[in-house]
Amino acid sequence: MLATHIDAEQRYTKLRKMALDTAQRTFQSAGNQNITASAITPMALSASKLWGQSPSRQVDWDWFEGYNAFKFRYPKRFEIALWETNKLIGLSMGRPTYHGTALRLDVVEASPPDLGDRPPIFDMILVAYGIYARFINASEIRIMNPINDDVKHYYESFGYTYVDKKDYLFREVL
Amino acid sequence: MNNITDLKKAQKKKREKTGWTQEEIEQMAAKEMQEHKKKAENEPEQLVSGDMQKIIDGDDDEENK
Repeated sequence: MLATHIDAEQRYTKLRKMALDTAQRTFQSAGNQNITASAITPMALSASKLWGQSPSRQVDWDWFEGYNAFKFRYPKRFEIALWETNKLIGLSMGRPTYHGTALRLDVVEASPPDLGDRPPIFDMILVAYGIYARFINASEIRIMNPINDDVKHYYESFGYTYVDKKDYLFREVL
Repeated sequence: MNNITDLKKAQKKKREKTGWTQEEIEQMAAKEMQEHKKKAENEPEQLVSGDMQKIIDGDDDEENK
């Protein structure tokens, strides 16, 4: 691994921590006392394996493999695990675009519904991305590859605009 | 109307130069959290999106390099 890569990993780990701490305080101030935001830790990856046992899960993603590939390749990435008390309820990771002008939300998954009730996660995920985007001075957030029309319309309700050709939605960070 | 547009442009220009302060970031986060609250009630039961295979395969879909 190059020294510049290690250096970037260290610098951006600090920024990620600052963003997650700020997000945590924001969630709690808004009344979400049972919600904790963390990095995608070994504990989160281990908890995500339970999702694989859900018959209602829509994807067969291996978060362990995906996260490790992403972490290795993108030191400037953003990552978040959301917990309700001790239950993992959501995972997401994204990264700045090549020139750093936009922050991509590459993947997001909430715990499948047959594994128990959970609060909505996407509002909190978006707030956390907004915080990190501002820390790195990105002027846009892009939600990549919406998996179906339901989620696409849901994202649009947050003011995001779909770009058909590139299959993402975007919104300016104002 | 023009004044609002000009103000937004000026703010954007300032951001590009100086970025955001921690205080501004916290204020915007609190504002967005409040704005998102109502919309979050309509969250699909199965919230998932993205392409994990692209990540595992190392496909870079960025065109603006």
